[in-house]
Amino acid sequence: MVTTTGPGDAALWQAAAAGDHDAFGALFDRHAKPVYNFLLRRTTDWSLAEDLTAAVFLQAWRRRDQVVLDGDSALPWLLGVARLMLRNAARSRSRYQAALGRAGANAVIAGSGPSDPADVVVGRLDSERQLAELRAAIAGLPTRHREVIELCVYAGLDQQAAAIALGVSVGTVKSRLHRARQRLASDLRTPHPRSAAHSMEGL
Amino acid sequence: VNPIDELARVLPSPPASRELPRQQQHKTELLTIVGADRRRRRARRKPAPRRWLAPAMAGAAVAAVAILAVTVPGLLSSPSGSRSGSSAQTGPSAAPTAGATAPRPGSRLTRTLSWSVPATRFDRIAVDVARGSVIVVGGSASAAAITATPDYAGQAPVLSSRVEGGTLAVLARCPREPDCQVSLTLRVPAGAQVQAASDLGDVRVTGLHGDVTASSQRGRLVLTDLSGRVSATDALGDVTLAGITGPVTAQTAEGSIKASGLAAAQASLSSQDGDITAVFVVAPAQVTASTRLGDVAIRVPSTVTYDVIASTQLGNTAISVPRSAGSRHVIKATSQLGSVTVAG
Repeated sequence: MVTTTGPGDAALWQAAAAGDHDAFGALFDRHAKPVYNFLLRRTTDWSLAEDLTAAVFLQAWRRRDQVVLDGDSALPWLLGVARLMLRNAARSRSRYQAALGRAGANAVIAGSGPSDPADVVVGRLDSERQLAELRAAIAGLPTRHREVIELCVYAGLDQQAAAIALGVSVGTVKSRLHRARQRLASDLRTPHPRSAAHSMEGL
Repeated sequence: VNPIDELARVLPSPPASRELPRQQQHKTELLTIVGADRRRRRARRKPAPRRWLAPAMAGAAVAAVAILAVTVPGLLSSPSGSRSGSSAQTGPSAAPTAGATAPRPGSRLTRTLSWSVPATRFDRIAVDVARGSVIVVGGSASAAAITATPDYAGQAPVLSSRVEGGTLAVLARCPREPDCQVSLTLRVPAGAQVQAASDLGDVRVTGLHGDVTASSQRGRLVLTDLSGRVSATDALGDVTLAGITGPVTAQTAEGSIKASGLAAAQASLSSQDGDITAVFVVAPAQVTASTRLGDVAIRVPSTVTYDVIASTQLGNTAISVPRSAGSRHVIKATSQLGSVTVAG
């Protein structure tokens, strides 16, 4: 799933747990991007996702003795750490998205420092729209279904890896995927009229 | 049939994956924090052979030689090595690390410099860089370990580090050139009181139980895991707070304020043009949040009732916490043009 060069995650993690700075740095370089993108999809907030990415790795460092590898990848476990970190914040934030209403505009302002070229901002607007659509599509699902979709469809984990990230059995992942699909199928037959308007808010 | 593929077909496609912005900066910050742990463990560790690092080390060696070749003339021409007689200055004798020399006041910073100051000599720290970023990390160290990295073209920045009246003061200044900045990283005793200021750069402070005052003009302030009194003042930048348990005051003119995991009894958050979001994990006694143009969203535990005073001129107000007038828990939330949300 993750193309790796050099030593595998297991070797790096072992070295990191023994106190090896560089090994932990290498793990950060390898997984920062997928963790950041996971946080971005979950929060739809560029600056928050950026801040939280480093926080996830710090939390992972503190819990480095508890790592669970999926084959030779630490990514599912790291996403699990990210998910736990978001859980409290996400509960509140997801309810706030509508109230705040300006998530899209905020994100652009947050990233439009003097060094940000215009095309980056335009790119962010595009991404914002896609993120909003994505959120709207799965917004009506219960959290346990949203999470399994987030991990399996968007973060690209397989069912085994998602089970590690969620801390549940593979069977549970399978049944949640199945139910999520049923839910979505019936939701899509009767599309929610607010979804479209929702995704345009703040743009 | 693979259920994942089936789901992928019916769901909208996500935006393309993006690189983490400022990845190197985040990595440096992370490893600084991790480094505090590493020092404690190093004594027990048997270094494992790291053959895979050999190419990287070779590259680094080449780069180091190149950097030395460039900076050595500058070093030779700058006043260095002579030890000052003043006991107030941090001299080489104070540094446990071999070769670490504290910058004499007014010396030019031509390359990365690391030094340390024993914690017995100070209980307050004042850091000020006009241009560049500041990272302060609290740990159990018995000394302040400081690293200063210049980035400049033309004249080198000026750096000084000295102890006066129990305050360790580290100052960096750039001459007129715009292409000049100094990044400072300090690992300090967790009980220290810290003042950290930068005009242009970000200020990050984490892991302290002393009082913290942080300010920036255009950079971001990121203050996390602090249990003392916290004061954050910014002009154009955002303020991010997380894991603050002491009383907190944060203000910014154009930036927004995002606070999460707050266990502060008192919080005063104000912005002119930005949004204010605050999530409390412990019911606060007194919260004041005000902004002119932005939205205010406050989330508090529903375990108690609140005296909520919310007002907005143009926006919507949505209050969904248990309320009772005269409660010991008071929330004042105002926005002139934005919306105000107080939820449980």
